[in-house]
Amino acid sequence: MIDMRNKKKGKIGGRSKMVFYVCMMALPLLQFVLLWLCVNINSIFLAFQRYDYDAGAYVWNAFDNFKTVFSDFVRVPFYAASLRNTVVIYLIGLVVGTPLSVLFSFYLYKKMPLHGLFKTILFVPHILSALIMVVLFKYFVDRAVPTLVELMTGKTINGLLANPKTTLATIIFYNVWTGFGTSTVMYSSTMAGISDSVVEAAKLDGITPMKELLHITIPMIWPTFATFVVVGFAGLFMNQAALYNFYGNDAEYRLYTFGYYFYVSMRTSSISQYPYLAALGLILTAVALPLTLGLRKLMDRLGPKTI
Amino acid sequence: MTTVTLHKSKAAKERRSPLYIVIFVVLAVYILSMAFPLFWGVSTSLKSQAEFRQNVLWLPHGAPWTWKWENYVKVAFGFYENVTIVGVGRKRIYFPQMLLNTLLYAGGSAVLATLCPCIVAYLTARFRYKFSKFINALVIALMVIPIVGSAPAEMQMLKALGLYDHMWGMWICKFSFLGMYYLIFYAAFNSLANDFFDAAYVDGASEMRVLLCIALPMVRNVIGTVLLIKFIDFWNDYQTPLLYMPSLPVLARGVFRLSQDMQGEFSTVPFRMAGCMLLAIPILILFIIFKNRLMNNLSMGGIKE
Amino acid sequence: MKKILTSLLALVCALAMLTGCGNLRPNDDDKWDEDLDPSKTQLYVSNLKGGIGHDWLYNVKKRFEAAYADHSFEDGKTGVQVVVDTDNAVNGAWLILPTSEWEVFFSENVPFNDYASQGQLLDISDVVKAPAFGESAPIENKLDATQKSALTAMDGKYYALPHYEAYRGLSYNVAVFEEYRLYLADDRDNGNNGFIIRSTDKRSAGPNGEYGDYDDGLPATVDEFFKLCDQMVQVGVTPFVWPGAVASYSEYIVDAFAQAFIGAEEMRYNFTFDSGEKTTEIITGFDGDTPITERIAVTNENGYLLRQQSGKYYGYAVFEKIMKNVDKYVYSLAGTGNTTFTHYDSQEEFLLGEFENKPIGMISDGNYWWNEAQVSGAYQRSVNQFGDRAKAENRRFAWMPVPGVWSATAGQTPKTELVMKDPMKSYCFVNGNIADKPAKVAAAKAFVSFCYSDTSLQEFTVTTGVAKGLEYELTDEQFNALHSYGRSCWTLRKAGEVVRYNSANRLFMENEQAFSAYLHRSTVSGQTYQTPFTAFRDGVSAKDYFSGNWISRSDWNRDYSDYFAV
Repeated sequence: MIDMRNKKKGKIGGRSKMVFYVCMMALPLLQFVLLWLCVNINSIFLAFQRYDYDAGAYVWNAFDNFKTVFSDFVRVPFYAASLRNTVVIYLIGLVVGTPLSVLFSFYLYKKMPLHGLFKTILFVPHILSALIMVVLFKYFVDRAVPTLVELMTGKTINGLLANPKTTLATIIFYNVWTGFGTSTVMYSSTMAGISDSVVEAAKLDGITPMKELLHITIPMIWPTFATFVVVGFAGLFMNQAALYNFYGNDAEYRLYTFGYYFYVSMRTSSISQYPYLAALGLILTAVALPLTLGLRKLMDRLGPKTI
Repeated sequence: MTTVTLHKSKAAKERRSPLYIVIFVVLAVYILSMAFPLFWGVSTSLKSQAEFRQNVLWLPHGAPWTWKWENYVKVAFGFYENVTIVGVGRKRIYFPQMLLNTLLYAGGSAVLATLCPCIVAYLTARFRYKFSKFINALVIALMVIPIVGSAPAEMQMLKALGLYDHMWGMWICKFSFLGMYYLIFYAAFNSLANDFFDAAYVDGASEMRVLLCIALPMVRNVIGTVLLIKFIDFWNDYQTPLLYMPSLPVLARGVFRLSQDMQGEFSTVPFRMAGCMLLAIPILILFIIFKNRLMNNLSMGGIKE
Repeated sequence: MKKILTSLLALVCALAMLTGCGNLRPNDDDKWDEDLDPSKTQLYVSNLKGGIGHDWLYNVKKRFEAAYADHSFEDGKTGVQVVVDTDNAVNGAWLILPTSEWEVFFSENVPFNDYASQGQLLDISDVVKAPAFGESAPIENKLDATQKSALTAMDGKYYALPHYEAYRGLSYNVAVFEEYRLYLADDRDNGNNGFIIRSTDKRSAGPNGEYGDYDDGLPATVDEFFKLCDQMVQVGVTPFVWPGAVASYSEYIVDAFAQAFIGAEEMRYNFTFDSGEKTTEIITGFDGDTPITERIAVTNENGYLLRQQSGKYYGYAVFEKIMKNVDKYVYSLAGTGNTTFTHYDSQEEFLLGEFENKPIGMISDGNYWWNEAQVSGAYQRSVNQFGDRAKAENRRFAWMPVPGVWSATAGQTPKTELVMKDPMKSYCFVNGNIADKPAKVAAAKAFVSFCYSDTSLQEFTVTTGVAKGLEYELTDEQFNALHSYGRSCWTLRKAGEVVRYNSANRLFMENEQAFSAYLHRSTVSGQTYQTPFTAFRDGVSAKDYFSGNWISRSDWNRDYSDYFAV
């Protein structure tokens, strides 16, 4: 694939191409500069400032916020829990959620029995807003499940979210459970783009569905697949794992993820606390960005060289 | 004719593959796990609060025609959002008006939010300038950075540009290439073979023609899918309209209000459920109608290689 | 596809037309749609609905517009029109003042020092120092000394006035207490476990140690409090309810007992960080389970020791004991922390329990719960279901003063000072972005002045049953117009000391959030807890929880050494 790009490169350079490029790029860039850069650049500067009440403005204070954040990594015990949950939720999504979505998509792509129904239902959590999914889920695990268990076994149990022993697992389940919509639709539509002739040729060789999945389908959707994996990782520290929808500002610390911590802090902080959060954000970015870029390279390398 | 028969028997055999059976079972379990809560949601939306307090889990008492179908009528016609337009006054906006706003907001935003990353990804994938690489890195970097306390700056900018509280203003806000769909489009354009492009250039096609007649049709699968996903995202988005489009309330904002605020009877779970179902029904119908048109069928016919 | 779109659009239009036909919203009236009157000056007023609602504001609007009907705030216009905003989006968490069109705000959790320091609020000193509309004494006289100094601490000017006053803690169902004879008798050996037998029996003096007032028959010690809980269980009353979905509501119990033990003056050190010549008792460690105490004077430098105030330990200890008996003391969806059981549900259960043979004695909530139950429709449903006896005039609820003494000492009458703590930081302020519009400034100031006249303050209380955070009186007629719960809160507010979340100390002002949020965060054996509810359910002891809540000297120095010389 990369080889093809290099061949192509030779063809670029004409003036009209450049003009086309600039013209087409202009509006999106203008939008970006005005509505992202101008708006958010201050948020990055904030990391190097503090709020001065007498001046009534933010003033520079170099790296003080970073020092505070670093000392908090040792001092604040729930940072460790946040990191652990952040990583666990991502990994379980990756190890359980991602393979399942690929399998589901393959099933839908192959138009196996009931694929229409399955496709719709898989997409339901995306269609229903998170506000309602959370309510449905809460009643399901905290009211219906205990009642069902009592009916079946006669034992009284606590709701799954109410019981501290099962809360985290339940939250993780929720995230996987509701997370198939976008990826399944995306994968199955990419699969639909796979050339029939390739599949037919393989079938004439008597390929099994499993082999077709591994040797034809996955390589063909690899770029989309890799994008999902990378994007999931890029959003690592912003993933609040639906905790806000479940608990508002009051989630227990043992459930915290960094994404939730940011989200809640931004809602509850005063102006003098923003610089600290901005610094924490930059530190996490400094960790996550190289890893994300590395992961992207890795996914490119793991992917099929030629199709 | 013979090939068709051959195909059919092969397909039947393929269906019995253990892989599909396993996936079928997992999917069936999944559907059940989703169906129960959904069913509960619908059944709850047909109860009165008095009944709901006593009977949380089971079907409403009585015959189906005595269930509280009027919950839906009440939400559809009785629930409203209060809107104050400076210089005009205060108005009640009801569900149908909100539905109209939602269609405009979600429709317009989805088109632009799909178009922008698509075009930019095309440019960066097909034109290997250094700037393209920069854009690539930028998109990923900005996905990683958490943004702190920028709401006032955003509000100021929207008001300064005159985008605040206008439908088209929100559309412009959504004309952004940042985010994961840029990468999806990038991957799609990147994996296209060059032959078609080369042929077109040889024929003397302009860049615009190549984009419109070759590149976009080749990724229309992706475009359709992203459009659908974006449409649903914006359909359910209440935060942007709530903050930046206060006088044009959308349905999701109404449902958010149902779940947060107190408007007498409307603040109960049965009404919330009814509101949420009303929000979901149109989009569910839309999804069922369009899911095949937008995704699978697009790739039949036309260029597909 | 076109067909489908066309039919969808047609459906929308049909629905839109139908809307005009009927409006099924319950309790609807004509106050919602309002056209602007171009002949008048408009004043845009934003009110956070919260548990207080908008009715009070519509009442003021009506009177204010009438009072200024002939007044001209700007050339060519006569009279004023108050446009009320009912949209919480522009108020509350998403408030962005400099670009907001809204001019006067009533809101809660207002960081008014933050706003004021950025120049976002209009200086209303002249309004506060002048008499309110139709009065002769300045509004300032209605503020107490702490309020005056705190409100002007930024630069000597007033930028805000207190809005409503809220307290958090326990409220009880008086009717249930009467019916099940849950008041303590003055004669402890009356053969009924010390509880009254007939409603006419003489009741004990209650927490304040005085007979014949608001708290007679209520527990005067923590021991008595638990005796009451046990008695409730015995007669089939569930002692407590709170929202299982919002565990922080259960902290109100901790806070209520802590402030009863600490007392008003020493509570205020938590905001002033200055005890002057006086001292407060702290716990420095435990000898077994017995606290080792010491009295200290509080300054900016040792402010961290306030987390060790001994009353705070007793607050946790009371709650620990409740949680140890959670199965019998607490309504099950509350005690198990069920995420489906919201504060509206909790209020509805408390309201209806009495009629459904599932009586609940006490609710842990804010004093705005009664209003919330009305705004959320729970009250109306109770009336629909149970008729006249569920009507406000026939219901009896009261605020519960709790004891600040653990056990009675022989020969001594236990006495607890009544402390009402207001954590809401609820204020009225004017947007600074109208400063260059003289007509708007004049109208806004006139409106604020109007809202803080005694007439308006009284009307606010009569409408909402809640007090404004200023000093004023109610006439007997007004007092009697309140429902029983409003009367109880008003009486207690008058009888007790109100402690407010404010201070003129820069340490507090510039770090207010740190001293008002996450106060119960505690780390025990490497595990950080948000709320004691979770910790006590995990089996953590009150002693460990209390100790895990302390701030170390080094952390304090790191964060606040700017405010004192190290």
